[in-house]
Amino acid sequence: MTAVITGLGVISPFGAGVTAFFDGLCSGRSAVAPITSFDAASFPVSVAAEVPAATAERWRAPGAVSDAHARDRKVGFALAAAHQALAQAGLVDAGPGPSTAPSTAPSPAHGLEPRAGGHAALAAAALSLGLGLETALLEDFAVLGDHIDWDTERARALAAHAAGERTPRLRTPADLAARALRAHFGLGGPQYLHMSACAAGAAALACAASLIERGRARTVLCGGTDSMINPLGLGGMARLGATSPRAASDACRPFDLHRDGLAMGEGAAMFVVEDAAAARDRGATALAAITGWGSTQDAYKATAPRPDGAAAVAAMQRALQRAGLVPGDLDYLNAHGTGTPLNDVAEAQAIAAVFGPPRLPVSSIKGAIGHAMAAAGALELAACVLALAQQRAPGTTGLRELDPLCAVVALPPGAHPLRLRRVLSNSFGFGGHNASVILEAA
Amino acid sequence: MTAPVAPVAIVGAALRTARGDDPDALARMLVGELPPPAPFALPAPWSAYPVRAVAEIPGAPARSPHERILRRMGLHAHQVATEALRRSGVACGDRLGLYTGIGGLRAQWQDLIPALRDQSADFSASWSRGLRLLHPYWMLQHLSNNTHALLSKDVSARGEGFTFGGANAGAQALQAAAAAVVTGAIDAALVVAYDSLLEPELLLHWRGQGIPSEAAAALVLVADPAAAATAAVADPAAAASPAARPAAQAWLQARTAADAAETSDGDAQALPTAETVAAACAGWERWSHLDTAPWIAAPPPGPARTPHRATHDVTAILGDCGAATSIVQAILWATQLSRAASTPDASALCLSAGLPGLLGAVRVSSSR
Amino acid sequence: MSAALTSSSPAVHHAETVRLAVAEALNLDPATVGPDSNLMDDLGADSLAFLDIVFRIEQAFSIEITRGEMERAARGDMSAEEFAPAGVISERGLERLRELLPEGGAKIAPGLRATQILSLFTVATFVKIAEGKLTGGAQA
Repeated sequence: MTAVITGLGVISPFGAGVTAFFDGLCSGRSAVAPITSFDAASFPVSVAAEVPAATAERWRAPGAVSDAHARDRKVGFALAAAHQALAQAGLVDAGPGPSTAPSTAPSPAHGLEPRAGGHAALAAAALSLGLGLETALLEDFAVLGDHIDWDTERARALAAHAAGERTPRLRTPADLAARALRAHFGLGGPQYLHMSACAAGAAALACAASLIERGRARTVLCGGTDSMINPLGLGGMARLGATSPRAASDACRPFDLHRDGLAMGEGAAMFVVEDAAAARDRGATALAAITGWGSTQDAYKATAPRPDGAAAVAAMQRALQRAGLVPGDLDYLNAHGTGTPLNDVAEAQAIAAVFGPPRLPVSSIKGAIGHAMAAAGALELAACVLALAQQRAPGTTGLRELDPLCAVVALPPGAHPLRLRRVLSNSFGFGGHNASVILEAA
Repeated sequence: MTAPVAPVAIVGAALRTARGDDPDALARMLVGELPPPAPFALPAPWSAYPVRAVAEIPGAPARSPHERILRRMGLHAHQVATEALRRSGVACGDRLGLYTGIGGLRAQWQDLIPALRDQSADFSASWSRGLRLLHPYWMLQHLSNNTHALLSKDVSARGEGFTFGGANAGAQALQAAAAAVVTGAIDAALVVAYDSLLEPELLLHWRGQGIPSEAAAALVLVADPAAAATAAVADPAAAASPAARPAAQAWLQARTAADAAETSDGDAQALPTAETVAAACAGWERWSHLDTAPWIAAPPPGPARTPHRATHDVTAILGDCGAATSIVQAILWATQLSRAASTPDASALCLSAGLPGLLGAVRVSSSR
Repeated sequence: MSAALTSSSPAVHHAETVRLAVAEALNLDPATVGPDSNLMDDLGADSLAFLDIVFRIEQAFSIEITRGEMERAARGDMSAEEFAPAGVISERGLERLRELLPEGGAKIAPGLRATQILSLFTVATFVKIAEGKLTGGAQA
């Protein structure tokens, strides 16, 4: 059985919807700008690619499990992207989406009624979602932390504070985020939550394809959502030293000689994946097929990729093998391309090892939308679906002078009309957690 | 519609629980061959919470160079996974996959307090008011796949692999690993899950009906034990002892299921419904032992009952091990079934529930 | 650390604070850490350990050391482009390194890459960086 994508939805730093997303990627413009969602002025990193405030506000999570979840940007992003995807697939009515009116007090009445116009197929649909581990809203931690004296009486103080609490705050919030999707769209199948860090979004699609191929599901809602652009997320990443120290719109410059780190991004991309025959039977249009995927571990170092890229090579080769393709069959590669000194050179070496002398067009969209972490792989696969549909590949925003150590055909910023039939996207997570996915024109 | 997935062999296992790390003793306890252990207590630090007892893993994990990144449960997970692989005799390298399940983030208050202590009410200038005191490793200590990354390096697991999260993450990991082994994507899978419910932010809202507990558990799966032994010899880099020939202790199938939620906010504390349990167990009506906590809706009676059905409850002896429960169950039943030679065709159906509405289901059998 | 704090000379005090921070970060007996110890070669530091060392020094002196300041310890005010065109340190860059990081010794040789600068760092390098911050911290 072949897994096909019949619906796609995106919330990105270029706004809501696939058009804004892909036009932004093809414009050569970067969405990286000074952070506005909180006071980041005193942080060592003060720029990021944020989802525009109006978009984020409009798509707040309706009927969320807790107050924290209404404020957790990634839950709203996932709901909005899922609504777009399901509407395109013809599985929900194409209404205004899960939320139409901003409100600080979430209630079940907030937004559309759950399951409005939902298709019967959703009752058995699986969910395969890549996301950051948890909500890490500073105020949630702080409100509890205020009441803890860790050295003496932590438990008593916390419990006393809890007396007035009515909703769970930090109890496996990833499950609660998934619950918001399940409840809103009436999904009744099993759920898989992918936590493979920056490879999670790609892993979620690979898992969906596997469920379809093995006959374990007929319909899967899958994708990735994340936001770490909050004080704890940004502070933690800045402390780790992975972010570019420059407060500029070209903070992230994939494959550039002078690249010096990543820029933080956020967003969501969601997909409806179905068995090809079932999709055809119900008259759905296939946008692309997921024909190959592979995952490997570097087994090298926690904080640096294997310099020769051997495990990244193996991930791409596993994907090719599953798809029944040879390297020469591919027309475009969407790189992980974080803009960190070590990743890009190791990835370029891996690409060269698989595809031989530079021929295959390669680009990274992280210069334009930053690194959306657990959502990155899903957003990049969304870009691949759109590239196949529009027969043009987005260039590498931020790239000016190719690093001679990165021996790849890196597409410069802008749009690149190409004949595209088969494309591959790489996602490499922390500690060498690699995933490669191949999409083919349907 | 649903294609049956062939069972895979369990060829190595290790675990840490509140009642120790000896699978044989734990299995005897589970089936009542050993007298019931003393009830768990409620030690002072936890006495202010709405729980009647807590079940903690006794003793700290062995010292490790990974202490700078992995916390207590991550270290336990790393150690049980390493032990399980060593016991299996399975080869490491490109054909060994790694599948990890984690229950959820635990806040690690001891790290956060300095960063939070002097914040203002509106969190203005939050960096200079304290976040600058976050240690550079804080992000790594909080990373969802940190155990996976360090473990893959230390046991040289370079094949396929993913990290799963949530209340039934152990069952998700088992299912993905079994699928990869059955389809030949890898020769062997190392599967590890860990979870601790003994954290302030969880116990605050404890409404579970069991005793909050914690566990780390790992097992090794192969499609064909004989082939796995050959592979071990073929890879000279294998860290595992080449003398150990993997032997099938038992056979395993795993599934997950989740409720069709009616609302997102009304039933977040709901356990999986009988319909969800029935969906997960379709085709598994035949079993001789059922391992399930009493608060899980029991599976519907099947058409082909075996004569000696018996019900057990792993949470009754270990407490609620969260996302690690499915793997703990698999290990104890693999141990029990391989021990009980008198029932050659025995099987155990193991259910574990997680909030909200999540189910892990594992079927362990003594023969293929 | 208290023994070091009684020392009368600020310079000695700074050097001792850094030395102890390095020993703590690397979990080493302070007696095995000297001012001239190379952090990677002699003390086994990896890139992650550098983050811990910098953090401890920041806390000990109540300063913040940015990545840019670490880079300036090696190349002064020379531009990144001039210092290491195409990633490899230029002849002028090497000269600058010999001035600013003489502790790098024979490792400062043609072919050295900008990404390898940390391999030149000794305990004394961090003493210099910390003292630079303490004396000129106002404009940082």
